[in-house]
Amino acid sequence: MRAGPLSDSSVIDLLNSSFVCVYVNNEDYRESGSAPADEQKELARIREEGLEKKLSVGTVHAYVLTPDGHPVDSLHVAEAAKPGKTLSMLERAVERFQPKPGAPVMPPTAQSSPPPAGADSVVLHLVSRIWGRGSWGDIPAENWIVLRPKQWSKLLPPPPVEPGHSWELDRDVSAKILTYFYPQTENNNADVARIQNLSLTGKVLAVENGSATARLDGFVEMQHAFYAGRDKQPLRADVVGVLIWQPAGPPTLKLVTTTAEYLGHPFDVAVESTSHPVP
Amino acid sequence: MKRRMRLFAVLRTLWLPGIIYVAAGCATLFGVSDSRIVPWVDKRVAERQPPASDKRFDEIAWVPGIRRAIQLGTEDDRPIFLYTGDGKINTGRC
Repeated sequence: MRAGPLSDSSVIDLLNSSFVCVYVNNEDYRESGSAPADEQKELARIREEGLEKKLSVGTVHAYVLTPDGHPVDSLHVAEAAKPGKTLSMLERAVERFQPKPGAPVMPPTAQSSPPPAGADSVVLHLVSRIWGRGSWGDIPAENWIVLRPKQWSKLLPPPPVEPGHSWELDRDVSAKILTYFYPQTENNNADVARIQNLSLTGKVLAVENGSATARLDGFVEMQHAFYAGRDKQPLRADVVGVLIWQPAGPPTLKLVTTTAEYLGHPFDVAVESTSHPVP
Repeated sequence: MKRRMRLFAVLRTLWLPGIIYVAAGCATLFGVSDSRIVPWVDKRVAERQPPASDKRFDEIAWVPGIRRAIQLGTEDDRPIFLYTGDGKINTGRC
């Protein structure tokens, strides 16, 4: 949907001018999910009403609701993603409800943004994209990884910090980052137990003006299933990176894949430290 | 003589890349020298960021939550578009 109708100018313009738009991630709306109970009840109600009205109802769907939240139309994602289908559904709704076109109900904002974390935390932004796998490669995947001081401090070398000094970065903290080195797949279980082997080695390149710079070299090997609950396939990514730090304060980290392959397709990953909101 | 030639060929195969490697100042297995690694990594990180064409999803005025959508729909008399999906459509992990 993201690479299809939800990137189409006609759909975007119509949604912003005549609709109120909301998306939900099903995991958040399951009983153990993070969405408030009242939100979960609303989604359950919409699905029940949809079934009563004999609409197409399911987990991955696009719905049109009345202004007060009752379903009147719907499309399974396989239909909604076809050219023109979502636009046609929206146009039917406009015809029916005759909304007054205007500005979006609120300003559009970035939907993938750094999570709040302590000022002394490191927040990493990861981007991953597979090549040569059709629509799966259309939109890159992103992750936000938070390292608290107790974690990022384990990435730094023991003294003395001198040019040429090499060290092995903490395996658990390395795993917390490298476990997300997989391309866009339907399965997004990023459990570190998938990792079979990994290594990240640092080498101090320079110590100047109270700041140290090191290069990182390493790799990760894991078993990752494309579909949840199905057989896992091997994945390997070779990485290099740069770590810069000062005696006080969190380091900055950048990592990129040099070669990475999954299911016979190459993929690229980039990670970098970013600024983040502090709660 | 043949054995010696074969040995020479093997040594040439092993040594020549090694000599070139050391001469280029490459102290690691991956072929970017220490002196070039920082700009090399910076460039790849920049190149791999999603372009605006991958972020058109963010151009839509998404409202946080169904109840808020119903509140705004009622206030503005607009129909509601609701998308439900597995994974996280906002991060592309779906």
